[in-house]
Amino acid sequence: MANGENQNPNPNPIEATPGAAARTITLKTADGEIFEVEEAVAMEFGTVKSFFEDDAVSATKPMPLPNVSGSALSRVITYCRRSLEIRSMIPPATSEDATAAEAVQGEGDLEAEKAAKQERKEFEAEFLKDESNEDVKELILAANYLNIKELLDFLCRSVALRIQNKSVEYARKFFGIEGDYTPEEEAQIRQEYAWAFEGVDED
Amino acid sequence: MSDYLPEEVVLEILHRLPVKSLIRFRCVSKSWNSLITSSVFIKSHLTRSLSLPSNSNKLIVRHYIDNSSVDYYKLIDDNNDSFDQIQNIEFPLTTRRIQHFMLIGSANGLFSLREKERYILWNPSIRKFTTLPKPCITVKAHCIWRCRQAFGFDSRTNDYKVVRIAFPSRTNVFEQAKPPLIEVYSLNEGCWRITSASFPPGIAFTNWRHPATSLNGAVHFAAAYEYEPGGPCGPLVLSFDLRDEVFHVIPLPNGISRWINSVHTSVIGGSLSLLFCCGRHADDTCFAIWVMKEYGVFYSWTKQSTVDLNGGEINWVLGLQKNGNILVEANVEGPSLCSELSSYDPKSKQVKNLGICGTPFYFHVDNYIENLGLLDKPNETVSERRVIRKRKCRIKKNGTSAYVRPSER
Repeated sequence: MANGENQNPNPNPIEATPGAAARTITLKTADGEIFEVEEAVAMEFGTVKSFFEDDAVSATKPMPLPNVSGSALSRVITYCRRSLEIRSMIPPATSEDATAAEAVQGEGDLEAEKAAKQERKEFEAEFLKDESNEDVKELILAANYLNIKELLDFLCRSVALRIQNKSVEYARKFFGIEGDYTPEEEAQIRQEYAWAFEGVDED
Repeated sequence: MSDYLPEEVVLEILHRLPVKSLIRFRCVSKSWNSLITSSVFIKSHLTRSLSLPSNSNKLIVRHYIDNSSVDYYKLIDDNNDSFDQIQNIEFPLTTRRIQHFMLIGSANGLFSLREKERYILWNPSIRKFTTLPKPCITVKAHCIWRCRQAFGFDSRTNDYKVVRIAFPSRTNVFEQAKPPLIEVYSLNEGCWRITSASFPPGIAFTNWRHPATSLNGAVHFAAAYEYEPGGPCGPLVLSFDLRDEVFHVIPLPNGISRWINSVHTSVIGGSLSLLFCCGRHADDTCFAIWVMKEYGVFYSWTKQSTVDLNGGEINWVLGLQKNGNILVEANVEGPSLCSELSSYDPKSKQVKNLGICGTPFYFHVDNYIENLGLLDKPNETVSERRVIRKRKCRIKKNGTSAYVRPSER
């Protein structure tokens, strides 16, 4: 029964010490901005996770992210933070006794799942509302570099929704592609599949 | 920072686009066109399409109206109960004959249809059809009496196939029935080929018209053992594996009595299922739906539900809806023979009409699937296909449906 005994700081930055303050990880963006991010959120970034898993690098030195700007990272962090919050709304399934879990997992869990789904839907609808196409592309590049599957998935889905009713020229501009069809060749496709060119949004 | 998205991300985005957008974006560039029309992309887009929950909401309904000899195709949303969003789908071809196009089957949203010896494959989601070459086995050359056909998809070879099982006629009553000839059309190969598959003896089809079900790379027919004293009897499912070109017998559990008729095979929730009428007497007929929960596992046959025909209110059962209701053909009071597509609630036993009427027993309902299949085939226009023939058209005087004899002429 020692009084004033110090708790040894956990040498492994990955494991969370119960009762200790949430560990943060420092990230430094291409434009020199420093972000201190809760460990749980930073571990959503596949790139960051493997960086700290590979060697027991001290969490105090900022991890450089040369391909990500401050504004993009800020948005990414917002997304991952919120996503974690929503995921924590769903109680984890107990793996020990399947039948017991099934018995216990009744209406309550289904309700929680439904609520979480709705929260996510609303959050995602708001998240990109005011982002321009350039901003979305920047986010995609960041999510791709940081290897955040869930965010990348969401962004691809959103882009598909954004462009699905747009014209050929809009798609070319968005992806930065030069059209290489002659006007006659293009006219032929347009004629054969005229129905696919109907009801397209004005540019 | 580069504005260009990496290729794998562009691919991800393309996979999530509906077919209409993809067809339009073929014009973006030559490389996008090659990508979108490549068989790899067509296959992976379909796989993605099949797995998305939102894509399994629409149903395509085919029905027929007797006196106009026209098939109608409608798209309905399975999501809500009211089915107030009904879209008409235009069928690209017209037939000049009394018989309309016969439905051979559907798989992954593609339809296979036949008009006499003219076979077509049609993809309503991209409004494209292709006419198949003439089959090898013809009525004239092989003295065919009748033919059972099927259409299916084999994911192992990523190929769509049409199967024809042609039974030769007997020259006289005493002659033993000759085994049927079997030929298969492969979309990938683009041709028909007579196979060496042998039809299992002692088995006969019990249903010659209802489309066989495509599932797990095989087509499934309703059949039964032919009567043989001391031999096995009763109904069964006969499957034909599209890759190996081999027949298999799928026996049915004892719970299904021998006294069943008009058996249809179908797919419910991804499992092989049987829909049939049972009951020997008019007053105790009901409809039963059995599902083989684990494909190929005999003991997994489960009775899914029975539908009381509500004293003649229901003519036929078509399938299960997402919300547990059952799609049925309800009888319509009136002078002409007519059925209305309806939704039956097994709990309340209420039948709700959906406003689509047609000739009884000619409704076909399937999932509507966005599929780029046939996109890489040459475009056919209707005017090219119209061939003027001077053959005499035999008009049925009694004016009933032209399906009395599905035999070739």
